[in-house]
Amino acid sequence: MAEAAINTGRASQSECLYCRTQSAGPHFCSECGKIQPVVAGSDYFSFFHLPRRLCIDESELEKSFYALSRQFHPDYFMSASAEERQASIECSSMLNDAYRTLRNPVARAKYLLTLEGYKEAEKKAPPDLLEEVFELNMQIEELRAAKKTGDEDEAAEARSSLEEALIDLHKKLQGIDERLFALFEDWDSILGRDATADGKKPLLDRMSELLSHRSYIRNLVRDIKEEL
Amino acid sequence: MAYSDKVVDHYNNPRNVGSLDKKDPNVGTGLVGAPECGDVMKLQIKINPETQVIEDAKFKTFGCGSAIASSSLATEWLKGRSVDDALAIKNTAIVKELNLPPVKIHCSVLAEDAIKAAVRDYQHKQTTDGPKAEEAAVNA
Repeated sequence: MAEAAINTGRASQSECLYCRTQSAGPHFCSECGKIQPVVAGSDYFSFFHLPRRLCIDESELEKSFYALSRQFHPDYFMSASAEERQASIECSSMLNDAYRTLRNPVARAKYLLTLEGYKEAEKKAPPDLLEEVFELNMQIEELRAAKKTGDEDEAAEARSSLEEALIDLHKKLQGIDERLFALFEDWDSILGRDATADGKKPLLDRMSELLSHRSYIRNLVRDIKEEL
Repeated sequence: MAYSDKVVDHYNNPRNVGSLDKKDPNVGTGLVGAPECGDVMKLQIKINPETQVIEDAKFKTFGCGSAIASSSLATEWLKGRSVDDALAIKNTAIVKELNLPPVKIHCSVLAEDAIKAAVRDYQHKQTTDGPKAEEAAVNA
């Protein structure tokens, strides 16, 4: 993991499967032009020849995605060898997964955390956040119960209280996203200065924590909206 | 994926749902959550100060069937145990009893975390003096 963390964004090049050229390109051989299987150990960033930065140009990413999609498309390999057909399927599938993950800033950050060895979502949450999540779940349950018994007044009251909470939750989400994007910039800037693991850790820890708070609130917003 | 009969039973007839007075110095409250699924679990224990035995346990969980069953089962197991024995409850025992599939193991971990948090809260109350203990209870 530690070695991969110093990734400069280039998938390691290897021998061409067909013509045995030593420095075959990552996706297509520079000599014979044939499609290569996905390089072992490559990740979504390296697959796109990107460094592990978090502020990425999403329109550029989209362009690369479409360009590579065309190049990898299995339709072009119908009459090629079984190995090439297999490589085209592998590359297409990896490309789709990589694009889906990297185009979304939150998914991208979560993915970076897994690459950096953060296996699980941060479970620690501040007590007041947990308390709020618990309380609002109680209110959702009250609304559900009031609807069931047909108690209009009770339901209206619960509904307006949840609507108010929703406004506050959206503000909180906005605040979290602002802090998250600030961390993205911090991350990119230390990455440019050859960050050590010690330098990275506090940033990754904070990101992991914010993403976890974000998940709680997002789930809560979804549940409230579902019941309103 | 089908739930085991035991999970369904606990889900349909959860034991010990409710709450205890968290300001009571003999009550320990654990509130834990899982960010990915949004589950929150509150588990409370009431300890007899003379015997150090858990005489009551209550829970309230918002989450999937497995999370509800795990905490329901935990409260059943907690009653009548000493505080030390409570800490010996492992999530693997819950997994075994409820036949939880691998994707639901985190629900049993959450229940174990809740037990630990409740015990910690109780112990914290015991080590702090009167007015401080009250404050801790408010913040619990």
